[in-house]
Amino acid sequence: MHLQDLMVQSPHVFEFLLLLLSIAAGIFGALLGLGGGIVIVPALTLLFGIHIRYAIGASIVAVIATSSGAAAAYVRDRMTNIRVAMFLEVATTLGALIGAALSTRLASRYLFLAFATIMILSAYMMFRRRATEERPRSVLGSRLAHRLRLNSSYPDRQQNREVAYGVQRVGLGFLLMLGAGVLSGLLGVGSGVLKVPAMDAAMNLPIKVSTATSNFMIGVTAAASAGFYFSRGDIVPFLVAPVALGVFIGAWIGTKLMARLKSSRLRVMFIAVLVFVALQMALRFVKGGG
Amino acid sequence: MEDLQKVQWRRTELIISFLLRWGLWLSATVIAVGMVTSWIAPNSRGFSPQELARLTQSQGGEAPGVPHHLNEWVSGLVAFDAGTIIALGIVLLIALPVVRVALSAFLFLSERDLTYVALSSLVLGVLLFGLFLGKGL
Repeated sequence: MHLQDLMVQSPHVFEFLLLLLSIAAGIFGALLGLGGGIVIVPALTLLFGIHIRYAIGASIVAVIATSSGAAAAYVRDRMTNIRVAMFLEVATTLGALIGAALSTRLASRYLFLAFATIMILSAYMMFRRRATEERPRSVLGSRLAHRLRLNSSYPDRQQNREVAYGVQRVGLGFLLMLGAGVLSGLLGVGSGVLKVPAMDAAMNLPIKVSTATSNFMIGVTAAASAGFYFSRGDIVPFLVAPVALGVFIGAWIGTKLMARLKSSRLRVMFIAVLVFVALQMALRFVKGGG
Repeated sequence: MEDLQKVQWRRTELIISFLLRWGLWLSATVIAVGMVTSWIAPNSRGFSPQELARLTQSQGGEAPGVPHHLNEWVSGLVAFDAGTIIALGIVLLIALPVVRVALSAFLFLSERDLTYVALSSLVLGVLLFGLFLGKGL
């Protein structure tokens, strides 16, 4: 664990390496539609030897930064369904607190196991979503969706018209978001990779709307557990500064590169990396690491 | 009447979007200033080798570099301490979604949408609760 010693002997070099890593994480995150979280925590724990509780603290702050940036653009583009977001945020924030509280109670090795699981799950989700064709959506919303005024429309650039959609299975969506919130609070990730399919498949939101709304919610979900971690002392300026800034800068670069790079090949590569790192995290669990 | 509502709603969306962007840049700048300060100024709080060595284990306790009491915040800011400045930037960043939810609550109120005023207040409550919950556990 040479990098660990570097932190004590030459903290500025350590910090710089953290910054570089985070920028890379931000770029990949933006290109592949993931938050930085899923890459940051494994990198900090496996590569840099940081204890997982501080890694999670740093990651959750970075998640707020990246998602808020994207969220601003999506709201301006009228993709985000703010009412759906607000309604589901009740679930995600409650879940986040439960997750964060759990995170402090569980022995660290179980966090590694949970992380390995979510990485495999994310790899699977990415694999499934290779063909992201938007399908025609029903405009019929459920009764609850009508009562809560969730049904809406979004501007489809390609068809050059306003496309209406009806929101369904609101209760199921709420439950799924509760689960996503727990994961987010537990592991310091955005769990957008789980939120988007949940809204798309269960609630009938168009993919672009799901992505935009998910991004909008991730920031609030992360803030719920971040407040908790902050008062607990798991958020360390020395770590958070390079990580949060790096991911922020990387995400900005990534969105600029998006137009030029073919994401499908990257996607396949990244799925392989996810699986590999997941196994490393599982190994840490087996070894009883912290 | 329909069109006026649409215009109002659109205005709401733009205000939220503007807040998110502006707040994000502000907190990112503060954090960056703090980080640069840690490079040029020696003896920043929380950057000593002993405190950093703690980060590889789970000893718990307060995070190195984060002010615990108000007077530590004030003295840190006045002294332009790197750790305090970064901590301030982090607080701003965490506060950003909270402010966004509070703003949404007000916007829903101005549109007489009481259901969503209630929902956003609920979310706000959970967020604030979390902040105090951490101290207990």
